Amino acid sequence: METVEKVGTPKDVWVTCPECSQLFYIDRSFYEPQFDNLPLHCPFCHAQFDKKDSKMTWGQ
Amino acid sequence: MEPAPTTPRKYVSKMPKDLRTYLEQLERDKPEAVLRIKKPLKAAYEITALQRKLDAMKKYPVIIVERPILDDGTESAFPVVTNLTASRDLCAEILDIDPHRVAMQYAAKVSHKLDPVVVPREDAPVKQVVETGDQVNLLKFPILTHNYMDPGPYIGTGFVTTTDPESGIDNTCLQRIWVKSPRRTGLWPAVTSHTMNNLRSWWDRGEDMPVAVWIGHHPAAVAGAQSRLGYPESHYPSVGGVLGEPLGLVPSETFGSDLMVPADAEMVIEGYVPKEVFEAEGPFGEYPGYIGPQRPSNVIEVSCVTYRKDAIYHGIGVGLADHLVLLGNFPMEARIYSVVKSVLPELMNVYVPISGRRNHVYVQVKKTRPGIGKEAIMATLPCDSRLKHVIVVDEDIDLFNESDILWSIAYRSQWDKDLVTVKGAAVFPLDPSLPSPGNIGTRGGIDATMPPPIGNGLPRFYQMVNKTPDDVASAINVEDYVDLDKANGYPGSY
Repeated sequence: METVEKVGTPKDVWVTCPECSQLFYIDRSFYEPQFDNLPLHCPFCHAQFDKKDSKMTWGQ
Repeated sequence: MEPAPTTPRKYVSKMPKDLRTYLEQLERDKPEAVLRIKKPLKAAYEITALQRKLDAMKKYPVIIVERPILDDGTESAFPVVTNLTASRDLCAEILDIDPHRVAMQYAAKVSHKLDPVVVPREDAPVKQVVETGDQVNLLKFPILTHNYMDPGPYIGTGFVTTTDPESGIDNTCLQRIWVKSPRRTGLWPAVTSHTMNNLRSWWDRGEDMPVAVWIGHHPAAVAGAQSRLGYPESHYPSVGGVLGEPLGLVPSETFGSDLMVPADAEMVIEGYVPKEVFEAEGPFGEYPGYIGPQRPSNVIEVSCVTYRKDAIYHGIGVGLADHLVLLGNFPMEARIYSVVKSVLPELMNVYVPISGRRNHVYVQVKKTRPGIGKEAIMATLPCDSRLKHVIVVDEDIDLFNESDILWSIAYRSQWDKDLVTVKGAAVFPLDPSLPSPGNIGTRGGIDATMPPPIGNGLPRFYQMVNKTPDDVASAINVEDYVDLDKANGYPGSY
């Protein structure tokens, strides 16, 4: 039987806002050199922060 | 190709079609299709919440919110209309086409182009109020916030008009715009969009890209602006074709006649997309029904906004039928029909259902010879990068009944023989099942057709569909046995 694996590579990266601790996710392109220093924007509290300051990060 | 020629509007004698002429006509001729809400409703979430609940009930009235409440708690001076393009039947009626023959009839409308006309600035309703510089405050408009993770209000009905700097030919494309502050917005042009082509060209020249975003027009104009065209090719003649009259244009305030905008729109936002400026944008709940991730994205620095004194803000139910039917599915059906019919005369009809949210298309063929099903899949897939799965069915299937479609797949296909998959294909990135980076995936289709008849007047080598004898079927009338007034109370099934 030929089987097909369910999509394995995580598509997005989950981050935690250092200000309000809410979770949201970002596109992997934020890790490309061109955008590596682009600040993230928390959609809940509108804090701007560096992704390295995310309290917890998943799927990196 | 040259920019579309324009002539003065003095040659047009009648009142131009716009959003308000449509709403007046609809409330007059079909008042049951309009839901006017006089109670206050917040632009943030509440209007979309109502729309979503009606969508769950499969009810799609045009909704007019007379007293939208802004984020600062004040009542906006501008009403909101939404669900304008949610009902397939109503949308087809607007375009004067059959809702079950949109593919061919809408294609004919789009191919019939009417050159736009120029309207004197003093006659252009959209110039009744002109605000520039510090006067501009986009936050006073009741722009909707839709989903819980959206970072703020998004314009979902902004037709982004830009030009190819080489030819001067304009392009118009519906794109999401996050209103970040009174004079700054986000803009996320998809990588496969013609707006992105223009952006690259402007930036390659070392220049910021001029942009005008127009909001609120007759739904037929909105439909025409969403036509799937070549590049570079102006959408304005197609708008005229679908509208049934030439589109009135007026020079923008910031760019003059280099960037023309619809004179009869409700509002226009003008500005620049600055070179090499990126900011975080989103997350944003999009048409697939999923909240896409925050992305690096472009911005618009707003230079000017023009609008009618009593402007109506056209909002949209993002990810709901309102976002799909007229603004995506109709143009897709027309495009697919035109392209596939040219290589496969056996094509009968095309339907892009709401349920598949632009990833699915049902294609109906007349199976006169073997192989037509697979040919239909191959011809259909390249028609639109958003198409992921093509389902090909026979002429006896009700293309608009998804139960019939699933029955076809269940009993007219074998997964190993009838499935076509194309790995490594370019796809639209708004699909959470795609692996990162999200613009390469697998597309394909299923040939759910029966074998063709073995000859003229001869049967197929296939089992017959259940059927009551014709004479009995015609003799038995439901109303002779059933009180139809009580039938609505009978239990259903699913």
